[in-house]
Amino acid sequence: MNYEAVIGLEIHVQLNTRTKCFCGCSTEYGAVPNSHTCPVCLGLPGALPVLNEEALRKGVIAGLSLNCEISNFTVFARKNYFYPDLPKAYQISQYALPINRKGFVAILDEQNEERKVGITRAHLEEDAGKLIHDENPRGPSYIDFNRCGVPLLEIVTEPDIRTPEESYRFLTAVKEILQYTGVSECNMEKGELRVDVNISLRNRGEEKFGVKQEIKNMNSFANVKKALEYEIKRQSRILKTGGSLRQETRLFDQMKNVTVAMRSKEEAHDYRYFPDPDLIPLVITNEFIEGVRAVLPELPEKKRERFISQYGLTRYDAEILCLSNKTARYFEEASGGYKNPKKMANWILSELLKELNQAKIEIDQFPVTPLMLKELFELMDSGEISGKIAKEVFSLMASSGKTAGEIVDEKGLRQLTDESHLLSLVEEVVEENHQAVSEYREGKLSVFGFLVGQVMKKTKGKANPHLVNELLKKKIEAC
Amino acid sequence: MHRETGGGNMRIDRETIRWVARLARLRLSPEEERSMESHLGSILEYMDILGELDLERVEPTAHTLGYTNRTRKDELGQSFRTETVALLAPRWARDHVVVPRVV
Amino acid sequence: MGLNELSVERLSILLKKGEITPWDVVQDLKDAVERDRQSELPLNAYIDFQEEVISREIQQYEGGANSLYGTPIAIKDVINVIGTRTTCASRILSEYRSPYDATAITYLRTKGGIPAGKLNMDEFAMGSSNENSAFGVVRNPHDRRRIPGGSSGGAASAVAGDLAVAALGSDTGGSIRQPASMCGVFGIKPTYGRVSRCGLVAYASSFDQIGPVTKTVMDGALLLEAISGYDSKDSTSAQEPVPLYRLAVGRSVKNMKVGIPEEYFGEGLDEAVRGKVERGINILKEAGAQIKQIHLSYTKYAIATYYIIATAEASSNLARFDGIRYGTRFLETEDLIELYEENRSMGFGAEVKRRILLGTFALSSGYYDAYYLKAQKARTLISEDFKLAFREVDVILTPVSPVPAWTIGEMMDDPLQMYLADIYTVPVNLAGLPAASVPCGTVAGGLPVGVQLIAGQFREEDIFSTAGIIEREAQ
Repeated sequence: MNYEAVIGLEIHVQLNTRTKCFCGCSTEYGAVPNSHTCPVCLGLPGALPVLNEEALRKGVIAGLSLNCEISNFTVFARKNYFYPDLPKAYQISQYALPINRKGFVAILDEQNEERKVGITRAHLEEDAGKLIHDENPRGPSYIDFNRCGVPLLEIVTEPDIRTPEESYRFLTAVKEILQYTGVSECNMEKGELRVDVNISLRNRGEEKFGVKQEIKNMNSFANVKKALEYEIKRQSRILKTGGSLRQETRLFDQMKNVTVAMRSKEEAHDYRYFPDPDLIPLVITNEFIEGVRAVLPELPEKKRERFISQYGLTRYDAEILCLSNKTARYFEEASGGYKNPKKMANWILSELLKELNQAKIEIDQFPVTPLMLKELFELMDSGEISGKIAKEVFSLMASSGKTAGEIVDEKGLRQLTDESHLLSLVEEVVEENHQAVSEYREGKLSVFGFLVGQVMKKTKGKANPHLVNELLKKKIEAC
Repeated sequence: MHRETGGGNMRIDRETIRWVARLARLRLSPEEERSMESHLGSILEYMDILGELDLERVEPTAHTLGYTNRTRKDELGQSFRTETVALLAPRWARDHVVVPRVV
Repeated sequence: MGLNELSVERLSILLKKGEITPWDVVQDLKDAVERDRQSELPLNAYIDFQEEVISREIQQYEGGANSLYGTPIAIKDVINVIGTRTTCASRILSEYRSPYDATAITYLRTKGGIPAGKLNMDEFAMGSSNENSAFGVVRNPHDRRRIPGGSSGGAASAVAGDLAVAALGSDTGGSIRQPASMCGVFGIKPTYGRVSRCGLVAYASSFDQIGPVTKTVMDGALLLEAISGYDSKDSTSAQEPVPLYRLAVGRSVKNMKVGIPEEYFGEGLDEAVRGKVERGINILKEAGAQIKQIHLSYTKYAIATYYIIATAEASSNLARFDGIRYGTRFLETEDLIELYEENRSMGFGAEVKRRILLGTFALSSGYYDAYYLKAQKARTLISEDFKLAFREVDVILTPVSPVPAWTIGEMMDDPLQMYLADIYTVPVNLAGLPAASVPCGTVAGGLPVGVQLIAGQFREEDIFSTAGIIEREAQ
């Protein structure tokens, strides 16, 4: 019995508009509870919604970046149900006629083949408030309505995903795309991205779908993967032993890495969708769509390809650099007009990332700007400092924020490149080390390094080693 | 304004009334259930008159005004002070509205 | 004569000249309300008439505001006015105090109107008799054993009984026109979108409009001017400019075409009422209007269409009333579902529950196509009916109510019967058109009868001209 997992994802992404979807309250995260509310998002009697044009625009941007068809005519609908974090007892969402449909995101499956995961729809809706519970398990619950009304994009995939790892890759790809297009930071810890999954098993080769299980409450992509892994095991076990599955909703327990059936009396929801009479339909013209498309930032896959062809980077380097739009941008600014982008890329991927990890900051908080990095490289290229010194200087730049020039001057690190001065030192060393020089002439080539070292000692390590090499060789051969 | 008074009709039975009441979060007494069954029954029977119409090629009315695209700019508007929300709430603690524990 | 007996037009002139102050008017109103309270069968038109609140409003009024100059206007308790209770005549909102103003109220204040008192009504605007209020029945000043009509019963009763100089009511299926007709006052429901709905507690979002209930047609024009206009906070608000409606009042109707729809004069229309409506037709004819027979063939489907859509929207609009964020929490309980059910069951009256159940049913899975969708399609046909008619005529004249005011309690056992009485008024809301009721005489027992005038979209001026003529000649 070979089972195939059929997985679909439902992703809710908060769009990073300044104000809420249907009112002018701030969407700022972490504010004093219930300080960003008004009659509209509190659901007071008589309050009416008005759509935020930026939420619409970001919805279209997201749709285009997910390769969706943008609807020319779209309508908001009421999704009716009772829950304390939902003030109007309905959520303004979309039902028939959503803004984005029939898209896809390409991922590499586990055989490293490219696969397109279909996106059924990506529609606009408003977020609900936040419920927290009293520490005492017999205590009440508390509601903060600040989050109520923040615009969301609900992305629903086709059941095209087949493994937990693919889910992980898909989520990563979607996050990357949405970060790139600037519509959301997709920070799961801040609730900017939430995922629910649907999974069923069926016999390999069969077309009919098995019984679907919905899993909720995973707060990281890694947990999504773990939850799915557990579910596959659990469902296989039941099916293998001849048992049957009931359609249910389960919660992921991250302490035990298992899923648990929800205990609450789950009545079938009848959302009674109907077009919201307080909002009027939206006509999205092709002009508008093309206008948005024209200013779309370059998407990750394109950027990667370009980095490979334009800068001669390896796919691996390109992938790491492009993991974040910010890193990619940093690299391009630093490499602009610079003759050796590969060297720049290597440095960023090693030295720079190391500094970021140590300080636990993001690249846009890094004190060394791309221009400052370019200056450091120029000093290396001109021979004024060695690669080894440059690494030290870089560390100091990261901790102090000073430029390379400033640090090199302060610490007198400029390598000696004055040939005549070096020549005199070389001559001294040759004078002082007859033995070694003869040994070298007789063929003991390893002694050369010792001689170079002697010159370096005299210059307290500041001489440019290549130049010393050259001059020493010339001197010895000339004698 | 005369209307035939039908007998109790089965268009909407007790089960359905209870299910709809649960959907609407209304609790009906047995008395109320009985009267709703009778009143809603006759009302729904009356609604059947729409069955006389040929609506196949008719579009539903979305809005009588025919407007589209009403939006607002993404600019901060007036929000309530927290005190206002507190004053409205029947139960309030620690800057939050209080409700029975939600499982 | 008490100041409460004067019209808005007259009072605003006296106020402008400084011969009286707003407080003087409020004093006379207060005395009238007091006297009525002591009477054997009080009108019970107000839910709240609070001196301190009104006095605060007067203090905030800076004076000199054209065109109402400080005239107190009573407000149906379905409209948010800061500092007042807005109960919608329901127990579930008996403790709700408005933290914000409806836009219509803001506009009213800018034009010098002073919100003064909150009027009784059918609970959540659902009813045609004002017997569905948690604050007691309202009575008709012409015969206190009879209903004033609904749902703006308090507004019509107060204006007719001189307990208010003028009022703002709301109309979803006839709730301004029918009580105006039954109480012998003027009432107009504007074109959908003419007046902002922001701050009007929603019953049926596709139909609701705020409108004036007044002693004279001119007063109606002045008030409608004051509250109309675009509101960016209401996505369904119209951007049409607001004309000076006062200039249209009683304007010549020579050669204006008045349509008489056959379907509104069939059986079911009380003979005495028919007589008064025909008088209205004759008045216009004698004033030079051309009378034309027209057909509105989908009329018989209007009640079913209206009640399905209205209750469906209402079931969703009223779902927010749960005692959690505002209003009354009747029961503190550990169980969430019980909290919802208890608060809503104790908070809502029978008619409201009935309509919520009906609306929930019409939207529910399996029934949406059969009811809600079908009704929205039927609505298109009814709207088309009117569009075609208005190519032939300027104004349509019909009765408002098939019968004059009935006695209190008479129809309470038969909700469907009461719904059917809305037959002449609901089609107008379905089509989003403006319509008014203007008094046109009385029948046996001194019971008033109104005539309905319907105009094309944003053609309120045509209503004011014809209504003005009828008002003048029907004296």
